[in-house]
Amino acid sequence: MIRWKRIFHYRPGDTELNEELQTHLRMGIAERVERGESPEKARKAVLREFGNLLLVEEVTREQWGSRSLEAFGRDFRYALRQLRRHPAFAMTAVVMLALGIGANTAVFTVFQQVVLQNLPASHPHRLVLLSQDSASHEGSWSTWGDEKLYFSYPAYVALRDGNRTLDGLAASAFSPVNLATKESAEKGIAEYVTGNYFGVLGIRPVLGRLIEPADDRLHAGNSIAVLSDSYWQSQFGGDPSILDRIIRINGQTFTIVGVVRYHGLTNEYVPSLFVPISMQNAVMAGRDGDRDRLTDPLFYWITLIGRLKSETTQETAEQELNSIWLDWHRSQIPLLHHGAKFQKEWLQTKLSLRDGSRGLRFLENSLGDPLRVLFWMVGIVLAIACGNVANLLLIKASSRRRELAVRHALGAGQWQLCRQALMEGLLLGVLGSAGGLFFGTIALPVILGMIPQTNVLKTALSQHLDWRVLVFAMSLGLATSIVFSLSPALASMRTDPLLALHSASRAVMDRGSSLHGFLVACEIALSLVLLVSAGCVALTLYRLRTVNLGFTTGHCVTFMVDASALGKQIPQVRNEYESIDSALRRIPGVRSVSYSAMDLLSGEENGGDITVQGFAESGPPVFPDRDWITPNFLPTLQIPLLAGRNFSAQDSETSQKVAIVDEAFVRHYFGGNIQAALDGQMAQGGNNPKPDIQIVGVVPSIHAISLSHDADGPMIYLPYAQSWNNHRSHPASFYIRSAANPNQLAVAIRAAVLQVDKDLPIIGLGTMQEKVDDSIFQQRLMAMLACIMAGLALLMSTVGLYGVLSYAVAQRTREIGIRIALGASRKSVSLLIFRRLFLLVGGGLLAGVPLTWMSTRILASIAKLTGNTGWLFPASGMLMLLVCGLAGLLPTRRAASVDPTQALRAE
Amino acid sequence: MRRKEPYQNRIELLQGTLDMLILQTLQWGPQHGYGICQALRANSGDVLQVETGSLYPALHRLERQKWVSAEWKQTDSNQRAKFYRITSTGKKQLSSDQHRWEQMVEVIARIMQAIPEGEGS
Repeated sequence: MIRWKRIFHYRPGDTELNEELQTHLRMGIAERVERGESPEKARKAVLREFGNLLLVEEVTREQWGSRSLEAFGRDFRYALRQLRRHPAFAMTAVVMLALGIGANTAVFTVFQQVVLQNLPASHPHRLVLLSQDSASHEGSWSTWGDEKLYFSYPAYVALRDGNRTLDGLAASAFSPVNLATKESAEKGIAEYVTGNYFGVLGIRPVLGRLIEPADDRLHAGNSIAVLSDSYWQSQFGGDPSILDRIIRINGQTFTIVGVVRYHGLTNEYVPSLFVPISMQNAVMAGRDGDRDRLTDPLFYWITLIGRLKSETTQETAEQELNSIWLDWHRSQIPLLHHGAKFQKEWLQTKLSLRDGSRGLRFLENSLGDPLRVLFWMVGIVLAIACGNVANLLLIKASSRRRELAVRHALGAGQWQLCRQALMEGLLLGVLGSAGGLFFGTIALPVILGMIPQTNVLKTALSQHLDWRVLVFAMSLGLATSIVFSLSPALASMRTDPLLALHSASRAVMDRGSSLHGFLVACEIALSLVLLVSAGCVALTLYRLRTVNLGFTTGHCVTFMVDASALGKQIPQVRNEYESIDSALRRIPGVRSVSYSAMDLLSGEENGGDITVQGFAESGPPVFPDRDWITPNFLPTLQIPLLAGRNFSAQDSETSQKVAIVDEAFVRHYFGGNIQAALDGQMAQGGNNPKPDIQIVGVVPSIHAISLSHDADGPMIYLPYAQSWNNHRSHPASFYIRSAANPNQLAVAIRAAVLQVDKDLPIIGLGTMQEKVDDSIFQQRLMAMLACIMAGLALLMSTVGLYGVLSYAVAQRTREIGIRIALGASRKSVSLLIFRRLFLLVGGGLLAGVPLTWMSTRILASIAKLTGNTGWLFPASGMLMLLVCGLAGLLPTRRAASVDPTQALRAE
Repeated sequence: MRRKEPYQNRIELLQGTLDMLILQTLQWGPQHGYGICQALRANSGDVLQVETGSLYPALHRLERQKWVSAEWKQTDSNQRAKFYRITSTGKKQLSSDQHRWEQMVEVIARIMQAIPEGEGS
């Protein structure tokens, strides 16, 4: 306490120490006066004897060891004064650093959500994920990522009940579901969890209770659901009276028993709710035909997560689980009626444990690489900002060269000068970090607003800034400040006082300005890297956007409804859809209306195995995607019919089952022979059921799933009218073609649907083009960020170039004055400056070419770049030359307008 | 900028010894800086003139090490002054300093009085 007081409230002549010394002086004077000396003389003698009062004070205070802190405070005040004295410099430096640090912080925020975040479980480091390596590929998989992580339910039961090394083994699976309450209906994700799941993870509810072992009995589970916190907030506004209310999942009624602040085992899909895994049959009824996931040993669909007992090592657990694993495989052989080859492969299997502290890291697979690219980009932007600030500091330091030399000559140690330079940098760094966080808090809501509701990043980024982000931003600021203030600090130590005092010492300056030039050239090289990379990314996006979808998105509005999710009976659902269809047709300006079961471009696949008459699969099994459409679907989306006929009103529930297939289907099953396809017959499901569906038409392949998804997967279209008997879930995506204004159309559509059923929620009403944009949101965001980074880099290196050129002109004013006085033309003086400009820019660009080439190669390998990007090099080079030329214009004109007499007199 | 190196050098030369002398002086009772200065001079027969630039840093060093304690009091001539008093740890330190000092004097004396072998023969 006392020591702090000493530092911050210290004023010379005001302290105890000063008083003590003054007392000493008074006593000395008094004694001499007593001896008969005159007061004046006595005073002089005592002061002479005493020596340097201030120095004694300083040395004495040093004994308390507070000097370093005090010196810190002094350096800090000095640095603050320096920045205040040069506000333009300080602003420029802080803004540049803030942009650099802010961009890095933003990317880090996403990165830590995607890669670093642990599950909100207790002791997450003891969680393990089970992974299997098997030679057998027999069976069915329903996976959302790495297949090795998926197990069958019977295998899980064997592992769970047999082991002694785990404190519980839980299983989970995800599926998209239609959710409906009295107020709303929408698509969501359900996570199916075992009864011990929340216990194993050690997660507590925020409201009500969680799913317990008693809720999860095979084929007799309780119809209960636990909501995730985010779904509870977004759909029910955090209403605490939600407990015991009914929610319909795919039309099945479930009772809400609790709310949990937990976003599932993977960060890629945020589940809306959790249900007992034994309820899977009820929720996904009919999806797997007659197969039962809960008893089928060859249906791989659940991931397993366990908790190691505190005294067990991973190796022991792995050994034990492997022996159980093999025993179970042996026990299954008599039950599985398969050949010898299968039996051999079946036993070639190994189980291993993976770190489960972060859950299933599927998001890392899809976002990891783009994030890594972004990290590089923002890193380069920060490097350029650093280079610029270093240059500014160097320039400022050389304008203070005389001052520094004087201070040096007056006894300031080199270390002291260096320390002050570092302190100035540190202050800039801290201000830059603060500015970066400020930019971050402004930018985040903007970015968040652009993310479509369906994108996973929406939830990931909605989290608050946490301490890791703060620490990251601050340490980045400190680290960069050391980097950019090092060279000015070293330069200050190199100062030769004599030389600096003699004159403006051009000899020394030249060495300094070559350093400036080097830094600027580096910045230009790095900017080229970013420009070309951003160009590549943007070009890829452009190609993706202009890809031929196979259907027309213009003048088309879409929305989704699901009356079946509200628990209505099929005749009623059917009635409603048909009423909506005709109500929409009556809207003025509407040309064509249709609906289908699958949501186009939603990224969801709806594949299943089929049997085609006369065709035996030779390669790996193919699961053609299916869609149920109304006869108007093909005309509405303007998909041409290549051969055969379209569906018509005559294709009903009772008539002959028919199908339209796409070209890829014909290629795969009929060797490309369209005529053969039109005679072909097929059936849904494997195991050779009797073919009962007649193929009646062939259409071109379209990008039905997503833009980046290959359009070459076989696709089958079936009449919506023939789907009623097959399923319980009947969503309908409507497509309305109209030349009317989409906004007005939307109002009319809402009115039309409400008229039919005022309780039917409308999901995702918008134009098809919006849907296309949303579906490639990740690529768009990436391209936008890349372009922003490149723009920032270009701007910063231009500012840097401008600064260095202006400085060079200011330095050479005298020389230019002499040249002009000796008869040099203004033009030749301009050339002088322009030569330097082009040396810098040209050098930078040359150095940038191999760097850029390398980085585009790396980019191409991880970001799936397409097309020829070679022309981006010269284009970016020209752009940089142009912008840099503009930056050089002002300094050059200033040089040309130097007045020789004034320039010479100034010295 | 003030230079401080010369003083530091001198403090270092006297360090330890000066501390011991101050502690020894304070054995006779609490005293202020000026008094210590005068006492040292008087006790050395006017030979030792301790620089204030050494004395006060030494006093504050001793205070920080808790070998002396300080207190503001009135002097006989009714002046406010900071009086230093030796503490019990200071007394222990003094006796160990004194012991070391005596040893050192003895050792140095032995060396200085020894007759080099070559010269002796």
